[in-house]
Amino acid sequence: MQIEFENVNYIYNPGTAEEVTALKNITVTVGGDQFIAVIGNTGSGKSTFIQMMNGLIKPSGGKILYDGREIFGQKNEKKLLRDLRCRVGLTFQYPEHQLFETDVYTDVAFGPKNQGVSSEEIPERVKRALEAVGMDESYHQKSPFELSGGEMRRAAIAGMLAMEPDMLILDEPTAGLDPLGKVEILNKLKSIQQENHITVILVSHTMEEVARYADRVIAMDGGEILFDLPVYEAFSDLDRLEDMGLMAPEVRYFMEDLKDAGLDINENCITVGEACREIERILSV
Amino acid sequence: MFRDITIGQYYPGNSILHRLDPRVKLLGVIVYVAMLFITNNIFALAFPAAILIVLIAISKIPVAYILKGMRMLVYLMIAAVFFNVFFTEGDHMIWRWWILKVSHEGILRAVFFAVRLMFVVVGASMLTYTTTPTTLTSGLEKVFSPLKKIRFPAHELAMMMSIALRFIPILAEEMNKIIKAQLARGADFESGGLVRKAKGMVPILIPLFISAFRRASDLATAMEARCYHGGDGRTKMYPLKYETRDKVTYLLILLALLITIAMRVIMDRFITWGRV
Repeated sequence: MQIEFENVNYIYNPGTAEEVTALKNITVTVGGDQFIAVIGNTGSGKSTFIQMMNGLIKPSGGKILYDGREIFGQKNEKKLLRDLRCRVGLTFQYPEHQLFETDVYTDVAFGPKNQGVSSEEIPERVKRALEAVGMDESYHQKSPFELSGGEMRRAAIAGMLAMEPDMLILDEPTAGLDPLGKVEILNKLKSIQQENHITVILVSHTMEEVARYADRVIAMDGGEILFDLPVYEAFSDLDRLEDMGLMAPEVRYFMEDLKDAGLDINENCITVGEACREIERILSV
Repeated sequence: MFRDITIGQYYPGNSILHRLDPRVKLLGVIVYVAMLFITNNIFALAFPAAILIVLIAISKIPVAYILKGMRMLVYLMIAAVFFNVFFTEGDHMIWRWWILKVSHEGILRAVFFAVRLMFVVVGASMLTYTTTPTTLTSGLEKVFSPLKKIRFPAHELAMMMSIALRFIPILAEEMNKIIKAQLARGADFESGGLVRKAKGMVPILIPLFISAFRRASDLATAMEARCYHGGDGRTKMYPLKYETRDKVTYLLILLALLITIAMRVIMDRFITWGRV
């Protein structure tokens, strides 16, 4: 699955007092076997950007090609959009707010059922999706509303996984989860991405998460893409990040301090593991 | 899809209408509605129409914005027109079939009622367009406060009304978000018959209700955490005070009411054409 944005613009409430330009001249291609992080301040246009990937928002100007094809303005637009949404899974912030069924199993089965997956295959998919988020069969018959916040979140994410899309887009999936729950979900997403060679797009404010899991970072500011770089280059220039109100992972600053203190060290380490190895390396010299 | 509900919402501005005391505007709305019901001739509706046009011009609210708020009203107006056109007995029959009948009187009534309904709603929304929920609340509270002696919960009622108004856009936005979330899961709200469409609403309505309850309880907790305990002994940051413009407006309102009554009396006596 590949999505190409060509000079895409988006304006909220055009022609009124509350007119806001949410996206300006976005040209970018996402897809392939990659874990992509989208970073940027609140109001930088991230959520408009990701909703376009799923066809929920129609651009005000420019073109989006989904696997080389245009969707908006085609005469079978509705059908194409539904097909697209089956291939591109999107979860919003607080996805647990979308749960509605009487039990977890039926709720997770909602997506595949809409996709037209055969009734023999649905139980298999639901089971797999729930296992992926660490929920065994004892959860199947529970009401989603008697789960804890973290479990609800995981059930909602399973609802998207059960659709087995070629591209997974998640808007801050870990916000408000406990530390272990965060790591579990992200590890699972990473392994799904690597095993199935699909695209995962993660919107995150936690730079440690971005550094640890992403291959590529798209940074947005004021509705524009400020940079689109491999993860190491994204965190190499600290001033650039801070100018847009973001920060690098904590450990990156630590390494910078070591370098300033006169150590001959590669300061561009973005995870704790890398930093440990780099420090061991110079200690052993 | 449900984003642009503008009815009952505040439209920021700094016109004289925005700055008027809320009590004046409240009385204005009541008198305006009364005027509409005193009027019984379709031509006499020109007077309230003129008032409305002047008010909209003064308030500087775009007409398109007001019309957008009227969209929800269209169905109600269609229903009113339908019943009046087809079920009014009249002397001048045009067409009759089974229980349906169309007469001159019916058409006149239909137009009259539709226009009057529109004026009531636009007139009342001029109040909410130009008054912030907080000012409106303190205005209502003040108006009802004499009733506190007979244990009428003036403050509570005013508070409830302003919270309800405040929640309209929040719930509309929430609904929009839920619709999108379910669309992303391949939900289909458009195809199929009425039953299937109604069933299609379940994935929207249940999360919406849950979220409404959650927000209500959050709000209650937040109010309690800030020691809210009803109206007793509460003071105001900006106590309401009448200015010259408010007194002048009171006089204008009285004048408009008198003109309407005079028109009714005169027209009842001399003009039958256009009477409903």
